[in-house]
Amino acid sequence: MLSASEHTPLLRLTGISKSFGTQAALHPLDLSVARGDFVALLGPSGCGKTTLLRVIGGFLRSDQGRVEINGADVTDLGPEQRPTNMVFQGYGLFPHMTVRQNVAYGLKIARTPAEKLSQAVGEILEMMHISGLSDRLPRALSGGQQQRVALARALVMKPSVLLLDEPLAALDLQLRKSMQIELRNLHREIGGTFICVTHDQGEAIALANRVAVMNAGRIVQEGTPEDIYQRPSNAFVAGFVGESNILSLTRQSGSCLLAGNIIPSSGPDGTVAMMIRPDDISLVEVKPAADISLYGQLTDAVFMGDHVKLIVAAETGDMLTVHRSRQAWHSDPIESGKRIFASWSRDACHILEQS
Amino acid sequence: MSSIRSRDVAAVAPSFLVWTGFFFAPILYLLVVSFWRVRQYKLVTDASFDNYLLAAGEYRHAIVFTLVLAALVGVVTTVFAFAMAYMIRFHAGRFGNVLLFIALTTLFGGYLVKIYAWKGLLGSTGIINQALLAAGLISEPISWFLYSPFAVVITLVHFLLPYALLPINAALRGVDDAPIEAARDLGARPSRILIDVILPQCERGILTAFALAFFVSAGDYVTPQLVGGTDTFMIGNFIQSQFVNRMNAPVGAALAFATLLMTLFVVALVSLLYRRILKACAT
Repeated sequence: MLSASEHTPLLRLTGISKSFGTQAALHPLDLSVARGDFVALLGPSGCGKTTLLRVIGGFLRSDQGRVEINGADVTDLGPEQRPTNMVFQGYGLFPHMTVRQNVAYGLKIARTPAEKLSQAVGEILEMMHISGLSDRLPRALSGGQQQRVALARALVMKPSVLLLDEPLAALDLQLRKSMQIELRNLHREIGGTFICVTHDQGEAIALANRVAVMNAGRIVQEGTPEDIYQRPSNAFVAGFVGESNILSLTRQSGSCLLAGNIIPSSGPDGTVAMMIRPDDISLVEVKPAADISLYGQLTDAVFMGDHVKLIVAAETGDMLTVHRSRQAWHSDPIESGKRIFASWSRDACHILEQS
Repeated sequence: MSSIRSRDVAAVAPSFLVWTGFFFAPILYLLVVSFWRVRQYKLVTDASFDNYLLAAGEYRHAIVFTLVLAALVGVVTTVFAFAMAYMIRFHAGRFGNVLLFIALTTLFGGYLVKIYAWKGLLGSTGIINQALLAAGLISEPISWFLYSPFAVVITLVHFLLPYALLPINAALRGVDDAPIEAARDLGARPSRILIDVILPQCERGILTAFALAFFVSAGDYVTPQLVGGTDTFMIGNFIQSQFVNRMNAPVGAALAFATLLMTLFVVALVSLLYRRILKACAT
């Protein structure tokens, strides 16, 4: 028989809103996080994602709404009483304490017996590969090492929810990539529930199994990284997550017209957007019958390392971005200035309501 | 190579002159003089420790009294200044700078004005005694308010507060929010955060504030003269009298150096205690 806790989400936010003065930072929003999820709160700066994380952690009180963790209402509890721990942006390590003292602090506050404490601290230092640094002060550590200490300090508390505020933002690109993999592995290994704030869509997709895209104080779409990428619910999400071509169309009695192509789409008449991912578009010399195509001129080809980015000036006046793999480009290059059809299948176009 | 050298010399020469003219030379001269003696109102070179023996004997009581009083002023000033700076840092928001400015503007009033103000407040016909009388809390004026060590302490604390506020304010500004929030996140209550996170990071600012208040108090001779009454003599009064009334610079210099040595010792001791006490209180 399943206990009640296995049915209820680990974290449930209901009707959370927050204003700073007259500025609304969060409009009433709901969010549920299941046990074991790795959730990314993704959005541009100022979208309210950090405010939301701080509400979950108890650092900010929401104006309205409820925060429940493990079925218990924690809305009125401060961070010291919540089963959450945070990895702060910039890490927030205690500068006057050694690595070991930093990591042991929470357990000491909780009056953990000395033997148990030193075992737990030793294990987590080992797990984060920082055992050799245990007597160093934070200022003697590199950014990546400080990041590990901050993670160890939070994880040693075995939080119900681990909160990460732009955890990798301060690291250089290469270190960021390797820490992403490590964070994923860590999450898999300890099986905890992580909530991570990031403005980097690549990071959100790489890390999380659920992504909540935020804009202007609202969660505009929530789903798996694949959902968000393949089926963005509106033009904002399409533009923010991954590269995309967005064409503006007019819908009239159930279909949209695009330079001779008829695309059926149900919904009210008016302006809609069509989104096509750059890797879904192919460039061909003969107009394909079944697909949607636009006639245009190749204006530029930019070598991006693993792929080539092609810019096509379409007959509609839109500039289309098309991706081609490096191999495909080398075996069949197209010279700049050439007139060509940009075409894509009907499955590849997503009609988005204007938001 | 040589051109670089002469440029280096030119770069440090002004500061070297200032250091030498205002600090090294006078201190060194005074140190040398403290081993001399006065014979028939004239300085005579010598190399005797007699002046220091005098300081350790006849003046020991005055030195100890001065150190105790100055340490008390130092501690009270530092605690008050910390409370003020803590409010500015954590609770005053954008009014913090206004508060700081208000505290610092009292420096414009000068030193003597504050002393006379306290004379007016603490005297038997002063505002405080009159108010207590009117409220019926006392039946006759409290005489030890003025012309007492108490008056010296309260006057010096008031005078030194803005100075002590500056280093502590700077230290508290240097404490980031994130470690404080991290401590909360790890379960620490405000009092624990103060002891475990804030105070250790403010060590230098707090000790600087204490040393400043302590040194100035230990060397002061105007305040005890004006509000200390006939029984409160601090070592500064004796040093002043040696230089001015008795024309005995060697004894005055020896007293000054003996006091300086002792004050340095006290500051070192307080620094050590600060760390020890915090460590003992730490989680």
